[in-house]
Amino acid sequence: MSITADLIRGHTDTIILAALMSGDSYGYRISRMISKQTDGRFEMKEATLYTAFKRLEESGCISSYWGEEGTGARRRYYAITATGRETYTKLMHEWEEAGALIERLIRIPTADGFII
Amino acid sequence: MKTKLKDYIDTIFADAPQSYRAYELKEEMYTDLCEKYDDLIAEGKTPAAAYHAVISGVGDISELIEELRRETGADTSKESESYYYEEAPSHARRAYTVEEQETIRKYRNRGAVMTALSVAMYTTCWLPLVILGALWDGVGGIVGLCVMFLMIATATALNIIHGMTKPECLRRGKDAKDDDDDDDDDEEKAEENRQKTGRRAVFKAVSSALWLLVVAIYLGVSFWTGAWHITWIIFLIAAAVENIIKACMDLRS
Repeated sequence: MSITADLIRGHTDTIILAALMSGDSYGYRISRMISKQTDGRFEMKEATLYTAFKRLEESGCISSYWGEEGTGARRRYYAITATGRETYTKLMHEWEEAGALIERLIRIPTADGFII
Repeated sequence: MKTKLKDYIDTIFADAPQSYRAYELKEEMYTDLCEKYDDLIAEGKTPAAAYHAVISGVGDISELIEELRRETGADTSKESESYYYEEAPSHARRAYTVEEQETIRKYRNRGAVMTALSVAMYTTCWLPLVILGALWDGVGGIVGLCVMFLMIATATALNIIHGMTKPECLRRGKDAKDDDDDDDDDEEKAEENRQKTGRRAVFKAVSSALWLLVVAIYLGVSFWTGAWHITWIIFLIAAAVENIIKACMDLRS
């Protein structure tokens, strides 16, 4: 599990950008979505999430604004920018390429193809 | 339980700089964690279990705090200037630009020359009085005294000019150190402080010049008239004059 978690953490930016591709969202909603999509097998730590928000906002991939909830508590929303969409496409591309390469590298070759 | 959540956030942010950005982040985190807590309660968890689940999900925020610190350190030009100084152990951490360093170097060089000249004038100012007085009976004494006062005045003027032409960047550094406990050090206030410090510097220069002149006048008049029993009154008059100048400066500002 820890290896899986580490692997997923390496793609935090891609995951957040993907979540924002379908519309503006806020921290907790994104983290809830992540645990729902993984059936609770992966939970993103708040520390990781907010650090990624900060980094992505600084690089211009996302922008943020305070939403008015009416109940007094303010919620910070994030929206993906044009740069963010480009970055997402690029990261997706890289992931597909890396995935294909790793797939080739970790299989054990035999005379008639690959085992496993 | 939500107050406990707030307390928890305050605890983990204890090392964070007191910047607006950190405050915003705390607020954002509090709203998100509260919603998470409410969801867990709705799922049937006990308050204590929900609280612990929320806390354990936060993770290590040291990297985030590091980011906040870096950010606060980076934009010293903006409102967070005072925090930067709070952290700085000495003014050595203040970075001057290349032009500022050049200005400071020039200022220090000029200052060295001016100080050397004025000290030379102070130490030799009695010479014309003695020499002219000995060479030229009668009038020589008066001329010598005049030359002596002229030398003292020039030397003092050099010191005042040096003090008043202090580069802006050096004054600014002093300002920020003066009021580093101030939380909202906005532009207006900084400007006001700069003016205040500027006025203080002018007053200091004027007052030091005044007292040097007073000593010179006292000695000159006393030697000239020989009325040592009464000439000390000059010091009382000088003190009064100094206070009047101070009052005038305060009134004008």
